[in-house]
Amino acid sequence: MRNQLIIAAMAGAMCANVSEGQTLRAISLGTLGGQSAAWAFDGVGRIVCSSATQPRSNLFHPMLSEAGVVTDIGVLPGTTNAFAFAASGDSVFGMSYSFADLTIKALRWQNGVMGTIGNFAPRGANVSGQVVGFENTITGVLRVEHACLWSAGVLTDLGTLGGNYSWAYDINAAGRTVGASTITRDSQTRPCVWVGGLARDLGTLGGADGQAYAISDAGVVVGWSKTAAGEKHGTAWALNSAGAVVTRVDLGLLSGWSYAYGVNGSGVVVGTSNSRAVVWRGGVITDLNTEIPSGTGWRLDMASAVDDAGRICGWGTLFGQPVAYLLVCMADTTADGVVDGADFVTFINSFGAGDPAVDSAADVNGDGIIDGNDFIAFVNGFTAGC
Amino acid sequence: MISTAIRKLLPPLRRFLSRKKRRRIFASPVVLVGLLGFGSLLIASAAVQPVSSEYVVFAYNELGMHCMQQDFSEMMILPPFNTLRAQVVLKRTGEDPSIVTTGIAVRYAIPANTHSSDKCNFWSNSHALLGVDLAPDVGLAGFGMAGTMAPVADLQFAATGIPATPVDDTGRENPYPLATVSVERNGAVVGTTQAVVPVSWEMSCNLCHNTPGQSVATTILMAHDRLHNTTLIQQKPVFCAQCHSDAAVGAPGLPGLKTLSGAMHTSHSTRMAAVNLVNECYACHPGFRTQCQRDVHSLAGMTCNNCHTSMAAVGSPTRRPWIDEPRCATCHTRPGFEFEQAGKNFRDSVGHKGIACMSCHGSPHAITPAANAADNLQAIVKQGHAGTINTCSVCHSSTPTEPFPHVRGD
Repeated sequence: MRNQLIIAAMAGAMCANVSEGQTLRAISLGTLGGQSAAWAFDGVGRIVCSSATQPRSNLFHPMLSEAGVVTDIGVLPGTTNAFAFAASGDSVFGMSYSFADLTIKALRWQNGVMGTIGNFAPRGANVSGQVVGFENTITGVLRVEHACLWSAGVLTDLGTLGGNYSWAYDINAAGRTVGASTITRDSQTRPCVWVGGLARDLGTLGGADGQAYAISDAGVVVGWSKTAAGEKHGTAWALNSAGAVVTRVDLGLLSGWSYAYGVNGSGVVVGTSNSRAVVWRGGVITDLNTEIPSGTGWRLDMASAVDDAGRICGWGTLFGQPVAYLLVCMADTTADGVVDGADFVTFINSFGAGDPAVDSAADVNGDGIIDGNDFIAFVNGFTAGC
Repeated sequence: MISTAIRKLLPPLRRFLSRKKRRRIFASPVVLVGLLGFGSLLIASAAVQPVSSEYVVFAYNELGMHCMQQDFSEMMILPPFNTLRAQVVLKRTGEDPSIVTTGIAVRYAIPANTHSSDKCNFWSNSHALLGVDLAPDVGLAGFGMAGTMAPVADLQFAATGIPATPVDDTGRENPYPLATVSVERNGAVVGTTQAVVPVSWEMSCNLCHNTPGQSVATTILMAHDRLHNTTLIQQKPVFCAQCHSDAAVGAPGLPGLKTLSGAMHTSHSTRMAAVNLVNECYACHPGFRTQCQRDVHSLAGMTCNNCHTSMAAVGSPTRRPWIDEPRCATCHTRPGFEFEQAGKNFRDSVGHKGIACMSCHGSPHAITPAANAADNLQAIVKQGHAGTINTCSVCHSSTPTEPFPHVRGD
């Protein structure tokens, strides 16, 4: 083992391929046979995804990915497709439905047991087990969707900003709910927060439309809104404890457009700009594709969530195959969001195995080979920390 | 509930099918599954009451399904390009109804699906593919995800090339999003309807083009290079219709080459046995989960081939893609009834004093009563039940005394 490490280190010293600034590595979260996408962290180490099943059936099921193992959550009886976007403790919440039907059932998968909690579409959940989303309803002669809150077994229509439609996307620990709603005559879709049971317009960057996708426990809301020029820009709103907007910030873009989808307790925001997965740290936007080693086969399209440890999930392609990913620090071989001794042990064990097809933890630079370059990358990453 | 559905379905089927055929259809598992879906539309029928409005608006999609890709970074077969049309009828007491084209604005929106630029990478590749820089969420014909329809031929309005994707804003896949189409006069909304904007990216090329470590597009381009001595792999992203003419996107192609439809159907028709599918069309057209053929014909047990014939025939060089399509009159021969106009397909034909066929019957592949509840909403709201809009009072303020004229508009 010792000789192997020395030889590998020498080889790596000659051709290390991890450049400065490339501090993250992408890990495939797997699939159920078709394409997959990651949407949320559940707080206990699992990542909530959705995946197409085998190409011939080609249906979408919610999927949990944890430490390289995927679990097919399945769909509710009487439905064919399901997507999951949220989790709380031991429960994953999803929308289970059939394309031919207008009804959506709320799926709850709790410790491996499938059940439904009503006819609505869960989109977000908080640590208390409150769930928000939307339900199908009728306004006049229109089939519409209304934001709703499921709390302690009771489903409540959250109403709109005056239009026929609204959607709740997320709820934080304090129960603050954000989403979007149309206004009178459905002429605009506005980002909104629900305060005291009423929808309140969060405002935009000067344009007509916007949507709020996520809220942190600190009250930072992210989404997108239009500028006065009509461009779509990732937007962050800071709320006070009463739910009033304190600041509204244009997060900027790489080019073209940007959407912010997730925010963590430290104010790190993730999303997409011009079809590239991006992160905003301290208000500065960075293409996440530039933070992973080049030549790995990854293209990161969307970053949908970031947890308090700084791990990011989303989706992109790996050698052209669409798949969910997890981004962790370079030396975080245990993928738990922390660089510590456990990572060193994991790296050494995996390095000894030497076969990334068996154990890819030591393939730190993601080039499909375990060699000295990985050793260099690990040491540098371990020194830098996370 | 199923028996109610059967009762509702039987009258139209009696016109065209023998008792023996009807029995066989209702005994088939496919139809029973369809009827379960049909049950849901009857629930909708009970919940949404028909309304009477001075301005009656009909909306429909001209193809019944638009395919598109999810990833445009290497190749484009079809861009996001969905077309919604509408027709507005003025219904006034004591007057004959009239089709209105002036003095009104017809607006469209897909409230649950308002943006696309974060759902596919068409806009970040449009310049490389087509040489145009499109504003995000604006389609190739200049229409966005919401806006005002333009007046077009045959007393209709259209929003052409809406760049909708099959993913709603919450992230849920929905190939059948509902658009709201509203008529405004003097700033007031005077009529509203809902119609499906069908779109899917379920093109299952990966059933065959699935080389490990390669994208599906790369596999396809490499196969094209190998078989046709091209160098497409070096020209990514490739727009197929740049060489193979495609009326679906208005691309003239290069002289001497097969049309895209001809090339695709011909080259694949001999290879479909390898994938052994119940419905081989769904290998490329959406699809196994989308089930784009969802109309009254599918409820009656008919398949794609019953109307479109074989894949080889569809790819025949003598067939003009998007023009030589199945015709209603091939099977429907009811005395006194006329069907498509000369030189036009169902989607472009009008009759009954200028009314588009689709206004009453729905979109192609979604002719009502359809297996998909969303496709039946318009009929349910207008007349209280799914199926052909054949209730005179939808447009007429009093029941006409003259016989119903199911005649062509030409």
